[in-house]
Amino acid sequence: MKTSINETIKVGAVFENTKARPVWFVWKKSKYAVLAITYQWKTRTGRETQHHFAAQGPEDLYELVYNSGTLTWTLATVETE
Amino acid sequence: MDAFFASVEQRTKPFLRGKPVAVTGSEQRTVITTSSYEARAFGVKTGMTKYEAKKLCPDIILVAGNNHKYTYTCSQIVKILKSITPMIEVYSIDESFLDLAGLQKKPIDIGYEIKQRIWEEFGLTCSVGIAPNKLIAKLASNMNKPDGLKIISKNMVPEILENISVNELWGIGRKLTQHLAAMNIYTCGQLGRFPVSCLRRRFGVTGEHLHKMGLGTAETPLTPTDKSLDAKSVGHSMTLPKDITSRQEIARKILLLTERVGRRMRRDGLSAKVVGITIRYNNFHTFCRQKTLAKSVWDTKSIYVALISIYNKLSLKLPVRLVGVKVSHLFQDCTIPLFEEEKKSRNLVLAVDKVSANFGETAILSASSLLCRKTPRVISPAWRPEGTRNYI
Repeated sequence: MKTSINETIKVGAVFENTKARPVWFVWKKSKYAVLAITYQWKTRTGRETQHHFAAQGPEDLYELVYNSGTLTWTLATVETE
Repeated sequence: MDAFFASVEQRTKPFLRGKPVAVTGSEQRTVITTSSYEARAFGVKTGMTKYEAKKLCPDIILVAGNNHKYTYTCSQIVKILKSITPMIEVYSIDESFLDLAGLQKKPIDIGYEIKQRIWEEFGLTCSVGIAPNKLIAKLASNMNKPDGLKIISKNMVPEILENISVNELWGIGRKLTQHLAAMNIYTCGQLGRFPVSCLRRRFGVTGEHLHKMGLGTAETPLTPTDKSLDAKSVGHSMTLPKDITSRQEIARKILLLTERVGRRMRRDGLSAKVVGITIRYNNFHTFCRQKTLAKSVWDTKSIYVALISIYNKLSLKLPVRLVGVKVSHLFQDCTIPLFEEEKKSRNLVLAVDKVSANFGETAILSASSLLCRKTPRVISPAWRPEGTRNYI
């Protein structure tokens, strides 16, 4: 089941070779490790680009979004099997 | 691409891998746009309703599609293909033709390279067909799905086509198959041997083309994507999350679609002489009404006024499932406004477009379309990764 969250969160990410890879994030005072990025894609809103990451956590699947215009990370959705 | 939308979802969500999955337009909608190979094994097909699919495969998992993910993936795959040759025709969101003539690498090596690069970048599989022309290449790509690579050389064509059913050929649909069956033509071999004069008598000019299709020699030129960008029309449609009957609500959808159409036209400096509306009832009966205007239009308000005058004459008999808006007879607009009022109104429209380009298309909207801006988008069959058609 997919649940919309859309909350700004704190993310630890590795930026390497023009690519970003989130490795952990903090949501509701809990820290979650990103075990794998299963897919990534981009969208645009006006001039701003949003980088979407499907991040596999220890239990659930999270969609993390990095907005390169505002330099913010958002937890868009949480999906459980 | 193999079961494109479903494969993207299986990559994104590891818990879907190896399971029967069907992608639908939105959570509320029932028609299946793509299904995974695991679901196809149960007979689930594109175009079925989710109820039909559930009957065939009770364990099927329904996933609401994410069009941005698919269009982004397609545009990145096209970049990979363009790095191999600029002679590429993007036929649809998940199919492209490449002209490999004159390239130094062997076609088979290029085929494996494409497959490997798409796999490495996205974890998706595709099927490659290599042949003397587009017709046979398309047939070849369908022969070893999924994750296949099939080469049909010129001298293999007659033998391969001999016993293949005519409906497996690209361009021969259900109706044409029935017409051919009525003439005792069931296989491509029979089609190729059938007297061309009889085919011409029955089908006109198409008869000659059908004869060549039967022989596997029908040459359709490859239209490189860069040269197919001149749109003949600009349109948007939306399948509504639920069927609606309220005329006011439908008018709001028309306004929202007109705003998108108008922005696209102005982005490419186009004006239109013809405007039209498409309505689909919940029983799938679809009809279009259009109007040629005395004066060309380019701004949202004028297009909307023209469309509403068509819409107000329609009497709707059933709940509406889909609404579409289209403008055609397009031309490059070089008009310079002469009067102050015209200049002001043009500047206002262009200023709103600039705000939308910088801050997103929902930054400034007419108040009435605010109520329906969250309607899910569909990917038009005409969508292409670049040019006027790059818009969902």
